[in-house]
Amino acid sequence: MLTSERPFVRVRRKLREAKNTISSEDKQLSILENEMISLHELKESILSAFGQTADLIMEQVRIAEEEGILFYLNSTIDKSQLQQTLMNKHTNQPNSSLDLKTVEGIQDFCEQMFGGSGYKLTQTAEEAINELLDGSFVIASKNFPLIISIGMPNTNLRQVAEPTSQTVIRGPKDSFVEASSINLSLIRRRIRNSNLRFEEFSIGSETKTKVYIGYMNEIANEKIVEEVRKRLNKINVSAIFESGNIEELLVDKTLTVFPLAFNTERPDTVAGELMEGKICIVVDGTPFALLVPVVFTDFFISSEDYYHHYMISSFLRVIRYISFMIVLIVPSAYVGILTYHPELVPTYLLINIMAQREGVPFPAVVEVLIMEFTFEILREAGIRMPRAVGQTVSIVGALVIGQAAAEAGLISNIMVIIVAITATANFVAPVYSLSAATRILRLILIPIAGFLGLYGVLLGLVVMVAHLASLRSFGVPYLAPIAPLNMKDQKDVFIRFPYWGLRRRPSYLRTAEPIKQEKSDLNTPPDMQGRNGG
Amino acid sequence: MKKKVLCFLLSLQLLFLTGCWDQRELAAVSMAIGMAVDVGENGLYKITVEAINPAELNDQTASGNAPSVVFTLEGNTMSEIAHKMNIGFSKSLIFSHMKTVIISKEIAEKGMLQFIDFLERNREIRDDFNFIMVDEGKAADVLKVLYTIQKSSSLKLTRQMSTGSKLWGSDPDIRLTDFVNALTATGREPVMATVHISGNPKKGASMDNLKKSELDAIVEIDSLAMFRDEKFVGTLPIEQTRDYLWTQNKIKMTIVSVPCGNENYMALRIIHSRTKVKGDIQNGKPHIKLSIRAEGYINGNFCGPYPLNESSSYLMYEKKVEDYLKEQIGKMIHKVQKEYGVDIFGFGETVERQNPKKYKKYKENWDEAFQQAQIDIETDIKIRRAGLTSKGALLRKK
Repeated sequence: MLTSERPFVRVRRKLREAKNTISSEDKQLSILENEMISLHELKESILSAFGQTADLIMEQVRIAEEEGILFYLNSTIDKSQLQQTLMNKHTNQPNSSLDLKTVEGIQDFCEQMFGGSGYKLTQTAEEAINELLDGSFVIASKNFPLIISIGMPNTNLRQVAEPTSQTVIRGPKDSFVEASSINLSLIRRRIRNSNLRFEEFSIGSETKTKVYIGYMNEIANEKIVEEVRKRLNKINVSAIFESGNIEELLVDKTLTVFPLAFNTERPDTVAGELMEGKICIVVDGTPFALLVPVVFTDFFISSEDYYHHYMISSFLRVIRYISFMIVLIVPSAYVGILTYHPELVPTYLLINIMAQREGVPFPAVVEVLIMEFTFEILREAGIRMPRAVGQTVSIVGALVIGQAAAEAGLISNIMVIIVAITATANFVAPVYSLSAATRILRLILIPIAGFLGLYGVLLGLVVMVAHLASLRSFGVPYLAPIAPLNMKDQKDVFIRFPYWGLRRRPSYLRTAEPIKQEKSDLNTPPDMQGRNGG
Repeated sequence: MKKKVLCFLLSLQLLFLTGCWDQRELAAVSMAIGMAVDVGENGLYKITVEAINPAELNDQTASGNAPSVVFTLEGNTMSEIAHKMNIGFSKSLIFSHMKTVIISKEIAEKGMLQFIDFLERNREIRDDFNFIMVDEGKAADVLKVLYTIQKSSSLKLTRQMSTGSKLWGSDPDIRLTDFVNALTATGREPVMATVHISGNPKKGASMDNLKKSELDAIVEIDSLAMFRDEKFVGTLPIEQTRDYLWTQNKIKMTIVSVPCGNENYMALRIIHSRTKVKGDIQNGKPHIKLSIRAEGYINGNFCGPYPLNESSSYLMYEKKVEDYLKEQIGKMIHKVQKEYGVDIFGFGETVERQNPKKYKKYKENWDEAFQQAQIDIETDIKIRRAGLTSKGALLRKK
């Protein structure tokens, strides 16, 4: 079943290509490959395919003086548009000059009647069913050699709103929505360039989800684009609902906590990265688009960095890297130092810590694990909680974590600080997928620190870096441009150079056009010698 | 796949098998903050350890009990005693935060410094604690004297020493590593700060001491102890400790009170100084040249009718300070040369570094050569400012 569907994708692509070409001979050729089926057969096969589904509507209509049947899925098409425009005004008009019994005649008829509304001529029941599922209505008549389908998909979807998970202070406030058509238009609106190409794929043998890849034709590396196409075509699952599904099936390696594709709900991020030479994958039905290939340092960049002053952006980036290290290391370093290396702590600080820990019954590692898990529970609860009780639970949680536990002697006060700084620093990461990865690694490092001290923490970090160095995202080393080191690419990694200084695209993307912008002169003050109106 | 899982589980065992061996929970350790070494009656040494009570040193948890516990044990090696301390203490001791080691004068006189080996060798003990001699009485008593602010005696002493050496030059800031370096070098003899307890040490050990503004006992920085090899030979008073620091390029800040006749003095606050030492051997006699440069500002002036808005007065004062310093330092070096004959200044080191070939002949008996050494002192003082007034109140009155 699954394998039999795959050639179908290819046929559809061929048909689409055929539609794009202007020559009508080509169109005829591709259409007349198969034999036409009868109206009865069509009806039977549609009915057998959909069964007794409630949203399938079949109506007897007269089209150009001919008896015909109109099929559509109530749930996919815009019914008001259907009623208002096409059916009433055009299809009833008799047009005797055309011979609708020939292929040429019906093509001419459709050109006149439905030109500009995305009509399609199909032959087989299978194609007609797919058209129905895509949001078209299908008209067939006993005397027509072809089936006419006209796209009129339901656009009654969520409006573009502000992003909810990747917010910025300065920058565009729109975000992707569930409808891929709107998402593509949000990208296209930012890049008014004919080189911006979108390719459509239909993935999921059962769900037939529309997936688009977008790239800049003369910028993106054609080999990577081809690799994305190849991997998308290779995907062989029954259902795709979110870009997360695609992400897992698309990336190079699955045994890693690190995200190998960048997900974003911000069209400006996508547009910016497309211009760098990356490829975006937009999945219908989710506001999260993917960007590939991705490197580790991309997860520390927010699109806002390019809108703020470059010094502020650079400062913020450094803060993000520090926060990442804090989340990763602070709890395990606390355990390691307190259990194995008290000599590293300044004397007076150690005295204070000892004074606080005097009555704590647990070893440091147990204390940390208890607190970190408590916080993870609170955090997860915070996401799932109904909004009405949210406030109550967060207050209770804060009290449980903070005061009560410390007063009851379960944990020391300094532990509260450790958990608080770790938790806060974790929210700094601009992309959720990396912050989730950090949380997991942190929980791995804590017991290692309990067993082996700082030596263990270091060992864990070495393994982590080795693992990072082994990762690839569509052939691009994950640690680029740090390892392998490329000095030219450092302008936009830890600090951001001024916008006029960012003249090159990242070299690790091997873009077709490495230069982003020409060198421009800096502004100088105008000559104010003449007293104009002074 | 099964093999992989097995391998993973087996390697996980490594953690359980090898991990934790030196794990010590913070709640299970006591911090030894100071140590005192006295001559033992039954064993070779009598060692006293001050372990702090952290709850008392934290304002929030303090309840008014003693800030530290002092316990004494006798034995033949310091190592044994240090690890046997649980005869008295409840928790295991960590020595990594030890701030002071105090030895008694008796130990110094007998040269019983073999215990240094333990201090140097032990991984846990740092070599940057203050190494101090107590002038009279038992070293253990110093650890027992409480102080109102830092509470624990060792914590107080280490802060007192570093502040003293920074602000005036009362402490040579000798750590174990300095002492060992001087001990092992041929051209230098070790020195050590000396403290003494002023007041009644018995009363000073009581918590009542903390409730008074005038303490019953207080530990004072007293003088500078000089050693020939590991044996104590004598002390220099505290004023001369400062003069000694001039020769060591260790003066960070100090105040020089220069007499200018009629029991009047001018005080110069030195804020920056640098001493260069040159050593050579000429005509079979070491020639040492000290050049001291210092900058400062006038911080008190009762000296006659020299208006401070004229540059000539500054030059005059500079000359006075230069002469005074030259005289004081010269006197001190002369005293050490003649009375003790130990090269605590490291002049031998300087000669060795600058003229290694010439030094070789004197290497074996440098101390004798040092006694014959000719010392030239050059001082160059710059007075930069005169504070907020040019004429003092007493001079304005006239």
